[in-house]
Amino acid sequence: MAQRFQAPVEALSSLGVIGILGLATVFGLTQWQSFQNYGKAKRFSVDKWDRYMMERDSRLTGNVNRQRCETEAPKAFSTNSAWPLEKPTIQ
Amino acid sequence: MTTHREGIFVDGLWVDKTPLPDSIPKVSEVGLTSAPLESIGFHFAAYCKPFSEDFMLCKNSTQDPEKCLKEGRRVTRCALDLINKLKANCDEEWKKHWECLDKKNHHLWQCRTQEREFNDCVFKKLGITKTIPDTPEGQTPVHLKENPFIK
Repeated sequence: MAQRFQAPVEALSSLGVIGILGLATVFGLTQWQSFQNYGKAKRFSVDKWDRYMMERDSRLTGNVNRQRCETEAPKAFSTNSAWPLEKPTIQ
Repeated sequence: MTTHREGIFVDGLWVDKTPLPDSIPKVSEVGLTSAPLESIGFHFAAYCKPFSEDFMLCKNSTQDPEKCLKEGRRVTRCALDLINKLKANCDEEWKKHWECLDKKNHHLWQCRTQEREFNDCVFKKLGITKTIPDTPEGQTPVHLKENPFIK
């Protein structure tokens, strides 16, 4: 009205710096996680069912992140299931 | 053996390398990992219903695993048959669907477009529909809703 609107640079520049650093953190984390997981996002909310399926995936393909779409399993699959051995805590 | 807890203070892994005895007929195992298996879950249920019902009834009746091996072999053979048919007919749509599931944390609700194409292809070529059991009467199942609020 009387003068042109001046944006509050001093007040918003600090918020801008915080925002840019936050976005850089999120970006860096997602890039690191996808680097660790063969280019995919990390799996979250993994319950017991998903854990058992991922263990089966690792027995079929060698890694939980690799998927495989063949009809028949490799021959080693029928004998490579593993039982965890537990030591009794109280003798 | 059905309720199994994970080991605490696990000391190592034990692998039993002896194969099955020769008296048991050999059936190769299903070679699908979790994402393709999840996408064909309902189709497998519709296609192999009699075999899997026999297997589940057998399992419910006895604790001995040796008694249900025959029914288990039948289920495996039916599953292998279904996978071969899907690979022959609907391979691209299936591949798109399970690759989408693989990227989206195996959430079915995030891959509805690919799922619709896959279901259409499977219905057209093989005649199998996906039905969610125990859907109340008069309610559209969640995979058929248009623009749902709760996916």
